[in-house]
Parts: sequence; structure tokens; C-alpha cells
Amino acid sequence: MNSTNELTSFDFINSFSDNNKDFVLSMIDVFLEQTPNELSNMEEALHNEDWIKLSKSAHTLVTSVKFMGIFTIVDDLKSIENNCKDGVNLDEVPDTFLKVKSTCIDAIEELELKKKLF
Amino acid sequence: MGTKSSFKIFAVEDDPVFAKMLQYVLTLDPEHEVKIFGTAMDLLDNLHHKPSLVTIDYSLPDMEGEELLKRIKYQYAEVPVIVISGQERIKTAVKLLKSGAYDYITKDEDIRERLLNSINNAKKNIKLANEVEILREELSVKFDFDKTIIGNSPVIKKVFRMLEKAVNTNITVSINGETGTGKELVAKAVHFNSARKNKPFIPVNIAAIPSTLLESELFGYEKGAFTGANSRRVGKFEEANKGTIFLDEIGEMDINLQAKLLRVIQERELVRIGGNEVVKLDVRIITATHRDMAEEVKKGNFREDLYYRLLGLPIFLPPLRDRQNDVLIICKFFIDQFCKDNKMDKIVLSPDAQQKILQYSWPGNIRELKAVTELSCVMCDGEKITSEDIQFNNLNKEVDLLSQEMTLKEYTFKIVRNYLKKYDDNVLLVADKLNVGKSTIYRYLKEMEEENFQLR
Repeated sequence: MNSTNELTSFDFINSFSDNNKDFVLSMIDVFLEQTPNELSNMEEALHNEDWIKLSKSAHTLVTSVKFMGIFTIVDDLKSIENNCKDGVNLDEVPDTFLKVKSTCIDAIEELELKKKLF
Repeated sequence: MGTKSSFKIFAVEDDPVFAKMLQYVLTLDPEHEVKIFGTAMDLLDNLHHKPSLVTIDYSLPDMEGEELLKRIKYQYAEVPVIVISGQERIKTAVKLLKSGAYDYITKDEDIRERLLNSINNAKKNIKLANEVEILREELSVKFDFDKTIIGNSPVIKKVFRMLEKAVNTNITVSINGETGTGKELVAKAVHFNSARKNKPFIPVNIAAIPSTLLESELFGYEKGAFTGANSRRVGKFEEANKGTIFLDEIGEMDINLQAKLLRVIQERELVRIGGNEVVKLDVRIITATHRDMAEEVKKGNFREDLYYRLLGLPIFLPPLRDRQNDVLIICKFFIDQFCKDNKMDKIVLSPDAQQKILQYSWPGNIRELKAVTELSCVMCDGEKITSEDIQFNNLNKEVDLLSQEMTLKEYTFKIVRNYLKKYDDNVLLVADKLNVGKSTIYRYLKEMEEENFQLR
């Protein structure tokens, strides 16, 4: 989806909102506010091996990252969601989560920069 | 279901990003009043505000979408619920749609279009449902007893009492009355004032359907049941399920089909022609006929067992000639209705017109009265209907002759006058037809002239 090395893309929300700049900015704000909380929730759930909670958090986050164009971790989040829900391949979950977390942190930095350029 | 000016949408979505997007897309239409809830319980606590439509996220922190859907449908079955899900599982979608979800939409790139399309379709359906509801209300009002059956005569008061009994129960009703006495109107009044008023009222005129087609028309058929049966068709009984079927002119039913009808009525179920599936029925039956059904049973034209099955609560609709002053009350009702429908000023009946109406026997009953009244409204000067504006149709002239009180001589004059008119003043032919000598005709003509009896 991204033509450059950028992690994030506004293609979808631009098209969704007919290039409504205010809307895109507000979406970035919500993402910046919500994502660290969601990552903490996931980290806590992983630590407590609360797989159901982890599955639900992954489900919530997958929609947000899709809308921000962060497609590189969509499949990872889906695998966390499904594995935790079904109780399978749980040994893979910590590594996958680390990848998700790291990508999200990079995406947050990138979005903060992009926001300043708006 | 929201106010007239707004379409209230409640959305439940725990993901703040998606909630923001929903808020944005749902408020694109200024008609929409949108409220977003973060949990299923928040939504359930606010359902009493009666949303026009609800969208729910399939996976919520406090409840699964399926459970939430059930709870919404339990409280407000008519509210469309659109399920929005991050999952593309066909099985889940099918399950939810079977449970009453209006639509199932996945959180994909085309969500905006799909969601708006779905909401627009739901709005169209709601509009149609509201229109149907309004029409049903109008029908109920239209068939209020005091608007359907007009009159104060003792015989019609008896009909009112029977109708009251009919609407309060599910009993089969058999209506008997001459042509034009309003049998179908009474059947509709019973249905639209009963607990079944929001269910179908299916009229079937037995006399109007060829006997060879009547069975399939009443009970339906399966695809391939006979040549030309290209697809399954439900019959009138199935159409009327939970409602009322009105079998008009029941006395005209073929004796062979009567046995099949009896079975359906007894068993309260049917099997479509060419099929095996048993269809359970909950249908109220109202029948009508102008025949003396007891006499038809005696003659062997109608099965006795079916006669008693269908008799139920018998309502006899008296002919207009037995309803005394009702004829004037109904006539005035028709005049007012005609003036209203045609945006005309009020028209009154002159005393001589009233006299003429009261003297006539009305063999075509209310149907004839309506037609004659409407014609007189057109023929009159726009303010008052006189006796000259009232014209009875040719079909009933003989009856008209007997309906008026006259002396024997006046009757004789009238007969001679009519024959002369009919046979172009050919005295010889008239004498022959009346089996009298031509001199008798000439004598009557002379007397008529002397007594100034109107020759034409």
C-alpha cells in the first residue's frame, strides 16, 4: 500500500472522508491517544496469560491500524487474536506481540511528525 | 422510532478509532441523530430511547454481538440491527442474519459505501412499514362499525349486536343477505375490528372462479403438480394464515370441493396440490351467500356437515326495504360522501325526493341506493335533489310498479301505458299481449286522458 518506506498511510481515511483534513487529524489524535493504552493492555494480558483479554485487545487494535494504513502488522494482530482465542500456538504470541508493539511505537512517532506537517 | 425529523441511530463500538469513523460516516446525513456507546450494557440501558436503527460491533468487551443482537430483538423486534465485524466468517454472518440481524458488514475498505447502502435500505423498509401501518390504521377507521353499517332500524340494531359478538371471539361467521346488502363490507368490519386486524384479510369470490381452478386457488400447489404449474404457489388459505379468509358466495361451491374444504376446516391444516408438506393453519373463516343454505342442504346441493361447520355465528343482513327510515339515513350518508369526494357544496333531499326513495323497494339494496344517489347528485341543480333527479334503472321497473301504493285502476293505467311505450303505440299488439280486446285498450286510453293520467 505504501509507495515509500513510511509505515503509515492516510489513503483509506482520505478516501473515506473525501479528504476531510479535520477528520484525518482527529483520527490521528484518537490513534495516538488510544494505541499506547491498548499496547499496555495487551502487555498486561500477555504477562498474566489472559489470552481472552489479549485476543480482544488485538481485535480492537487491528481495526485502528488498518485505518492508519499500518498494514505490516495486520496479519500479526489477526494471528494474536485468533491464536489467543483458540488457545493454539501460544508460544508464538510473545514474539508476535513484540513486533506489533515496536511497529506501533514507530508508527506513533511517524504520525506525530506527519501531524506537525499538516 | 425517533422523531419525525430525525433518524436515530445507536452504534455500539468499543474501539475509539472505529467509533470516530462511525460517528463521521453516520452523521454525513443531517437527518441522522447518532449516539455511540462503548459497551453493550450502555446500549441496552439506553434502548428505551427507541432508536430507529442500531449498529453493533460483533466483538465487544462485555458481550458477544450475537447475545447483544438477541437482547435487542427481544425488546424491540422491529428495530433493524446491522452487525459490523472485523471477521469475514461466512458461518457467523449466516448465523447472525438468521437470528434477525438486518445486515452483516465487515470492517473493510468499502465499509463506508456498504454501511450507507445498508442504512438507506433499512430506512426505505422502515418507511414502507410505517406506510403499511398508517394504511392499516386507516382501514381500521374505515371499517369502524359506525362508519360501515349505518342505520337505526331494529333489524340493523340486531346486526350490530351480532357483530359485537363476532369481533370479540374467533368464531366462524356466516353472513346471509340479498345482493347488495353489504356482505363483504360486514366481513371486513368483523376482521378489521378483531384481534386479527393487522393480519391479512383475503376475500375469495367462489362464484367468480371456475370450479376447475378453485381448488388450486384455495389450497395452492407445488411446482410440477400439473401442466403449467411452473413454480410453487400458495393458496388463499395460506395467504390468510393468522388472518381471515372471506369465502363469498359459498353456496356456489362444487360439491366435490366441499369435501376438501371440510377436511381443511376440520384438521386446520392443508397439503398443497401435488405436495406432501402439511401446512398448519390459523385462519378465521367468514362466509357469505344470498342463498338459503338450509334449503340447499335439503336439495342436496350443499353438504350438511360443511353447512354446520360453517354456520358458526349467523348474521342476517336485512334487505333495504325492511329497514324503514334507514334508507334515508344511508342515502344522506352517500350524498355527503359524494359531495366530499367531488368537492361539492352540501346537497339536500327535497320532501318529494324523500317520498320517492321511501316508496321504492330497492331490489338491488344498498348497492343500488348508492348508484341512484350518486346519479341524482349529478343530475340535480347542485343544491337540492328533487324526485325528478332520482332515476331508477330499467332492471327494476316491474318491482318499482309494485312498490308504490296505487289503486287498481292506476295500476292498470300504468301497465297499459308501459306496454304502449314498449310496443311503439301498437294498440293491436298491446291488446294481444295483454289478452284483451283492442276496444278495452282504447277505453283505457280515453279514461286516462279524461283523468289526466300521464301517458308517458
